[in-house]
Amino acid sequence: MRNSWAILVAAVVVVGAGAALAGVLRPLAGPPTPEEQVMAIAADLRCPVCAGESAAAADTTQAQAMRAQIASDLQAGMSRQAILGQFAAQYGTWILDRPPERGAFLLLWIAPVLAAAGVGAGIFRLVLPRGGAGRDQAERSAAADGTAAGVGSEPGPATAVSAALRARLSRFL
Amino acid sequence: MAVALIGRVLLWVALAAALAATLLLAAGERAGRPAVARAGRAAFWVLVAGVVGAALLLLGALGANDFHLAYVAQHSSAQTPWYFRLAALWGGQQGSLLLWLLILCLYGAYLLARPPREAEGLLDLALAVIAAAASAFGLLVAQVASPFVYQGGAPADGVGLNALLRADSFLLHPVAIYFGFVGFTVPFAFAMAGLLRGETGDRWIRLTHRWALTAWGFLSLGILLGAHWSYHVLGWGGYWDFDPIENAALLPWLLGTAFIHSAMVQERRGMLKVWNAALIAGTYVLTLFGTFLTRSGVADSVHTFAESPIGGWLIAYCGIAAAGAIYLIGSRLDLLQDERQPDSLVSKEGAFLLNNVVFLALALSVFVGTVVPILSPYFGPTVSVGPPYFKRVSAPLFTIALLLAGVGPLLAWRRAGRREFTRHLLVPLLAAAAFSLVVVSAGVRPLSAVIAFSCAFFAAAAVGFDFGLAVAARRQMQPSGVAAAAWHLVQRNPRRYGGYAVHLAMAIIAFGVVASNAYERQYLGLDIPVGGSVRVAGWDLTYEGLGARPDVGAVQDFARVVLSSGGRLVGTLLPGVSVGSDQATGASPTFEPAIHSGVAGDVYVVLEGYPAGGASAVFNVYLVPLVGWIWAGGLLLVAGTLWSLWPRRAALAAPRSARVFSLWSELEYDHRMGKTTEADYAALRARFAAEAEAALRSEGAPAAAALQPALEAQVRQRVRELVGSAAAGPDGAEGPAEPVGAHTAVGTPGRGGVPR
Repeated sequence: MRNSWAILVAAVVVVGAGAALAGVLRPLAGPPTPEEQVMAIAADLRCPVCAGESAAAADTTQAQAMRAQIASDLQAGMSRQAILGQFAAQYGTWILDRPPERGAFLLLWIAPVLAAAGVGAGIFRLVLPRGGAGRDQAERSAAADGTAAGVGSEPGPATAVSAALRARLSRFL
Repeated sequence: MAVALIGRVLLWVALAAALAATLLLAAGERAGRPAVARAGRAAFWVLVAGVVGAALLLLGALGANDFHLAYVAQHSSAQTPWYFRLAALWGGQQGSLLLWLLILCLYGAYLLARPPREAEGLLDLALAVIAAAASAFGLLVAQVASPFVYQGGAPADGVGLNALLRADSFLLHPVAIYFGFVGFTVPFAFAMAGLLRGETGDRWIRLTHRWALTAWGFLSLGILLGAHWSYHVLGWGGYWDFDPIENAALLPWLLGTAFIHSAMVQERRGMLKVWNAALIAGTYVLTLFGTFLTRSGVADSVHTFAESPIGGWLIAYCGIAAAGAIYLIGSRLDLLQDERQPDSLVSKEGAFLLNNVVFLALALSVFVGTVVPILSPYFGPTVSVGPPYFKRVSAPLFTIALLLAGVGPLLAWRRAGRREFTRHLLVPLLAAAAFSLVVVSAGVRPLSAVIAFSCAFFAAAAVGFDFGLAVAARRQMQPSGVAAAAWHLVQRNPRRYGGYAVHLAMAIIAFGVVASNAYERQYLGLDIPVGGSVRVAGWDLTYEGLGARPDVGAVQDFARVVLSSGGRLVGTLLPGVSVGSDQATGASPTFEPAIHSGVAGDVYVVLEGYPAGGASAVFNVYLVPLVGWIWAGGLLLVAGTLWSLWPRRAALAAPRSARVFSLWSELEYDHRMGKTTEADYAALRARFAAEAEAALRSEGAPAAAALQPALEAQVRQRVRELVGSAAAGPDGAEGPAEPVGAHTAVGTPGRGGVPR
C-alpha cells in the first residue's frame, strides 16, 4: 500500500516536472529572429581588433560592420558555411572561433576522445595491472584459511559482533 | 615615502624568512634535528608577520588615498567608495599577488597554530613546501612586481578602480578564487612531504581531505560568483564564455573534482596512489598556470588586466613545481604500488575511476583549447579556439559526468551486487525515461538538450531515491517519522549527505546551464518611443522615459521600462548607463542591465543607446530561462560542501575509531538498502569489527571513556526492550555486554588503518 503511494507520488513529480519544464521552454521556441541568425554566425567569428571577444559580443565599429555584412549576406541568401568561408578567405582561418573540422585542426576535435582513451587506458592499467580484477593477498590467504575475512565465506555465528562494539556502532548509524 | 619603504622592507624580510623557513624546516626534518625545525617554524612566523604587515599597510594606503604609492594611484581614486578602495587590493596585478601570498601565509599559520593530529614528521616538510611556494611569490611582490613603488610627484587623484570591477560580486569573487587556488597548495605540500619521506600510505590524504574539499568549495564558489558578476555587470545576457581567464579557473576545478573523488578511493581502498599524487600535483600546477594566464597578459582575453614581466617568473615557477613533482613521483614509483586492485568495476571505486576519465578528458580538452591559440603563432598560422569549440566538446562530457553523479551514489564500495545494483538503477532510470518522454511529447527540442535535461533529472532522482532508501532503512532500525529519520541521517553522515547535496546542486545547475544556453532568446536593437511598447514572447515592455540617479562614484542615466505579461503588471526595470567622474570610469560608459528574475527565467534588459532628451531609446532584451537555477544550485553546492566539512564531536574525540565506525555504518546502511550481497557484507563486517577494536585499543584511555556512554545507551536500550514493545531491529536483541577486546580480532590489526 505504502509502495503504491510512493509510486503515485513519483509519477506525479516526474510528469509535473516534465510538464513544467516544457511550459517554461515552449514559449521560447520558434524560428530565430533575423538578429539571432546574425548573432549565431557572428558568435563563430572573432572581432579582429578586440582582445578575445567574438564579433557577436564586441561593440567595436569593426564588429558592427561584420554583423551588418552577415545580415546582408543572409538576406542575399548565403548559407552559414558560405558566410563563414567568406570571412575566412578575407582574414585567414584565424577569424574562425570554431576551428574547422579538417586537416591539422581535426586534432583539436579528437583531442577529448584521445584524452579519454589515454586516461582510461592509463588508469585501468594502473589499477588492473596483472591479470584483471583480483583480491588483495591478505584476503586471499584468509579465505584459504577459512576465516571470516575471506569474501564469499558463509556468514555464520562467527561474524557476531561484540555487544559493546554494536552499541558504539549504533551511535554512528 | 615611508609607507613604500616600510612595505618593501617587510616584503624583503618575508622573502628572507620564507627562504630560511624552507631550508630550516626541510633540513631539520631530514636530519632529525627538532631544534633546527623549531627555528624553521619561527622563521615561518616571521614570514607570516611580514606578509600580514605588508598587506595591512597596503590596505591602509588604499583607505587613506595615499597616491604616493603608484599602486594606489593606478587602482583607486578619491571618488571610489571605501569598500571598493579596499577591494582594490585585488584590483591590480601587484595587489593580487600580495593577496595570494597573504592567503598562503594564513593557511600556513593555521597549520602551525593548530597542527593536525597524526602529522608527525609530515608537517614540517609540508610547511617547507609551503614556504618554498611563499618564497616564489615573495620574490615577485618584493622585487618583480612590488605594490610598494613610490612616486615623487603624487597625482591629485588616482585613476580609480576599473569600472567593471565595481560590483558587489567583485568584492568576493577574486578572494574566493584565490582561497581556492591557494588552498590546493596544502594537500599538494602534504603529498610531496609524504613522497619525500618515502611514505606510501594514505596519511597525507587523510590529513588533507578537508583542505582539499575546502579549496574545492572556495574555487566552486569563486567560479559561480565570477559567472554571477559577468551576468549582472557585462550586459550580454550570458555568464560564461570559455574565455582563457575563465578556463584558468575551470582547469584546476576540473582536476580538483577528479582528485576529491579518487582520493576517497585511496582513503578507503588503498588504490590509486600514483594517480592521486599526480592529480594533486596537476591541480596545483594548474592553479599556477591559471595565475600565469590571468596575470601575464599572454592570452587574448577581455579579463586580462595587465601585461607585465611577471609572466616569465610565474611560468618558470610553474615549470619548477611540475618538474619537482614529476621527479618525486617518478623516483618513488616502486614504493607506490597499490595494495590491491578493485574487486569489481561495478562498485563506487569503478564509478570514481570513470569520473576521473571524464574529468581528465574535460580538463585536457579545455587545456588544449586554451593553449593552442597562445602557442600556434610560434609554429604557423594563428589558430583561434573559442566558445563554439568548448561548448561542442564539453557538453557531451559534462552530460556523462551527470550520469555518473547519479550512478555513483547507487553503488556500494568494493563490489555492488549486480542484481541489486540493476534493481536500484532501474527506478531513477525509469523516472528519467518517463521525464524525457513527457518533455519530448510536449514538443521540446532539440534532442541533445532533452538528453542533457534527462541526465540531470536522473542524477537528482538517483540521489533522492538512494536517500529515500536510507531513510527507510533507518526507520526500520529505529521507528520514527520520515523527517526525523532524514535529519538523523544527514547529521550522522555529513560527508556522504553533504556530497549528495553537491550532486543534487550539480543537477540543478545543469538544468540552468542547458536551458539558458539552448533556449535563450535575444531581441536586439529594439527602438521604442516614449510611451510605446513591444511584445517579446509574451512579455510587454513599455518605455516610459529617461531619468538620472547617482551611482557608486558615478552618475547614471536610466530608462524606465514597465514590464507586464498578459496585461498584468510585473515590475519596473531601470536599465542604466553610468559615466563616472574619475579616469577609469569616465573614459567610457558602462551599461548596467536591469533584470527581472523568476523561477522560470529572467527578463534581461540593456539600455543600448538613446538620443539626447530620450524621446526614444534602443534596448537589447534577452529572455534567459532557468538561469536563476544556477545561482540557487550554487547556494546548495556551498551548503553541501560546508555540511560535509562540519566537524563531528565523535571524530574529534577519537578520530581513528570514528573513521572505522563511520565506514562501518555506511556498510550497514548499504546492506540494509540491499546494495551489497550477504557474503560481502558478512566478510566486511567482520573486518570492520576487528579494525574497530584495534582502533579503540590504540586510542586507549580516552576511547574507553568514550565507550562509557555507549554502554549506558545499551543499558537503556535493553530496558526499553524489556519494558516496551519496540520492534527489535537487527541490533536490537543483544546479550549482556561484552568487554571490548573479548572478541577475537580478525584481519590485520597491526596496520591500524581502515579495512578496505
